[in-house]
Amino acid sequence: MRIERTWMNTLAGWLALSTIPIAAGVAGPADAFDPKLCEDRHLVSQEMVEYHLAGAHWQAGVSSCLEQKNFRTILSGRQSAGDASLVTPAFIVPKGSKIKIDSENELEIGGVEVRFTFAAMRAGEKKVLHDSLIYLWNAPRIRKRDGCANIQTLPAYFAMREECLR
Amino acid sequence: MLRSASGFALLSLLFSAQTGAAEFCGLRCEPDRSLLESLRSPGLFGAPPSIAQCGNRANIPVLTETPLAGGARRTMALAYGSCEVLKLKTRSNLIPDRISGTFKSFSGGADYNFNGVQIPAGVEQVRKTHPYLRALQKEDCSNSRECSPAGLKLPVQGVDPSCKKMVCDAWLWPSMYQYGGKAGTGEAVYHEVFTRKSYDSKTKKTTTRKYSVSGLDCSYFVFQAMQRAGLKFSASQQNFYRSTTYLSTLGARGAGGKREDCFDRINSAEGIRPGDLLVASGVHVAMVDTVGRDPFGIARMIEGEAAWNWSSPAQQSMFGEIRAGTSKVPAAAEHSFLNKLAGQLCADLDPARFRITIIHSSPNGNGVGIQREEAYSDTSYSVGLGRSSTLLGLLKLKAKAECILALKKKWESFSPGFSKSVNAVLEAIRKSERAPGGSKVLRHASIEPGCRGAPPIDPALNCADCCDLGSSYESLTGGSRAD
Repeated sequence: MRIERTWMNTLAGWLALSTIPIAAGVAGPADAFDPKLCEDRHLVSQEMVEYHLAGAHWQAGVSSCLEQKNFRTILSGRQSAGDASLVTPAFIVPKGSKIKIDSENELEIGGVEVRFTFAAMRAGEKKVLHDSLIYLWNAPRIRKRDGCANIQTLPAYFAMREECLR
Repeated sequence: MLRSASGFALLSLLFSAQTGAAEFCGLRCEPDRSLLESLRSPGLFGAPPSIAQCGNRANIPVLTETPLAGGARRTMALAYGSCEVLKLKTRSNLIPDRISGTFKSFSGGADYNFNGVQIPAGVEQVRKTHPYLRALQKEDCSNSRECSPAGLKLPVQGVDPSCKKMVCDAWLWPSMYQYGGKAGTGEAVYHEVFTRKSYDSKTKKTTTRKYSVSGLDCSYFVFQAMQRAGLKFSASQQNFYRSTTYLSTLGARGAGGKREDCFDRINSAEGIRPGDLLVASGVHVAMVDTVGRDPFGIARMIEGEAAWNWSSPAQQSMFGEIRAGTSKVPAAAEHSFLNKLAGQLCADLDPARFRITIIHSSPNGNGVGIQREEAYSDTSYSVGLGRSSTLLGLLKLKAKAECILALKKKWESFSPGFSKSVNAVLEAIRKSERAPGGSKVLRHASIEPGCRGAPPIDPALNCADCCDLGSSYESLTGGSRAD
């Protein structure tokens, strides 16, 4: 099921929250990517988490949440073409469920470790999962071309948002 | 010797059958036929040289490569039934560069899910639009004739049936990417069958068609490359298929630094070589195929000082003073300044300047499967490792570490002791390289006792022995990334 942009756009002010509203879902204007927003670490962290939950590494189907309009700091478009093996999500994040960013730690390697918590379903059973990912900053001069950051370590769980499964 | 003679006969068969129609080229030793001509010379004709002797020719990878690179190329030649496939440039240089004529809805279950959702509209369509199969169709070969039902039944004296089967398999069941695909080239070829259901709204009937191709995923390609190179995962265990999750556990050291398997984890300062594996646990594995001069663009960055991204005029001025030996600051402060500058400059390396190609079985190109590509492309997200892939991140980290090490060595000349000073970024990268799991670069310890297994006994697996397995970044890419 597609996320209605109009609905998404009513979520103005979500940036101030420590949780992410929904799905791939930090949608902005139609062509939302803006390299100036790379300075906003929290936004990049949120979008990196959402990008994964939207199915950026999902190879068994086409997510309906990866449209560029949904991301302001990531250049979407099946960027992970070489990452071939995440096929079936082990967990499904219920529609509308919020993701809590627990911490963001700048790493000396030139990246950020994001720890986050979310609720997900598996075989009809609800679980609260704690996970993390690491992304590397792209050099400012290539951000317009490659986006703000590059995933370095994927989350341990392969979870996807329910509304992104097609 | 039987194998050798029969292989020669096969080659002769393939070359001699010229129909004039556009057909698919089979395994043959050299595209220019020079080997064939030499084999036909009177002095040799009575006693054709052993195919194994081809190993004395130009088919040995250069010494900087690990044997695994040769195994991967041999696997590719067998999968496409052609030596010539190894002479083609990277996939993005081929026309077409991707399989077309795909459709999205199909039925067959997750196990038969090619590249997620894009399923080729029939094997014929694959042959017509697959970048490699298409490029290999020539006027002077006759695989479709030899591999036709009638052709397969023809008894041909001296031809090793398994070798002919190898060539024909590649024609009849084209190799493609498939998650979980374990189609072999040689050992019990396993043809994946997928079905397509189409509904006709006018007749209200559903039609089901079945297609067969040889589906192969990334980790099985590595397994095959290991077999073709006669290499083992572990000295103490038999070789069998290993998933990417398992591969990511390799390269470990036990008590006293003792090797626990046949792989070394390659850290910064150890360079990168053809045959090195780039592994992301449970996600993907690709192999470094060729490495060009200045593979990470480090030398070009260092030499291109005019383009350095200074954080301030004061920083540039300070560097000038240190280099000229006129700086008044203490050595420790000088080193601290230089370490910060090194981290800053090395964070600015552009992967678009990398001169590294990879060979892997990947869904890129709408499920092409085994392919050779630039590790990174700034023009297309569907080439190489992808702009945001974990494995590109791995290469970028390695590039950064090697860049800092290069600057330490260079700047030592005007700032004594700098090379031994602590660089926080480098230390952090080294720490991440030591962390268990995650993405890593692995290199097979080919010279280690027990890490080489017996050569394949299936004669079909030797059909590519005459292929020229040598390769270079420049020949594969046309040297497109100039200084």
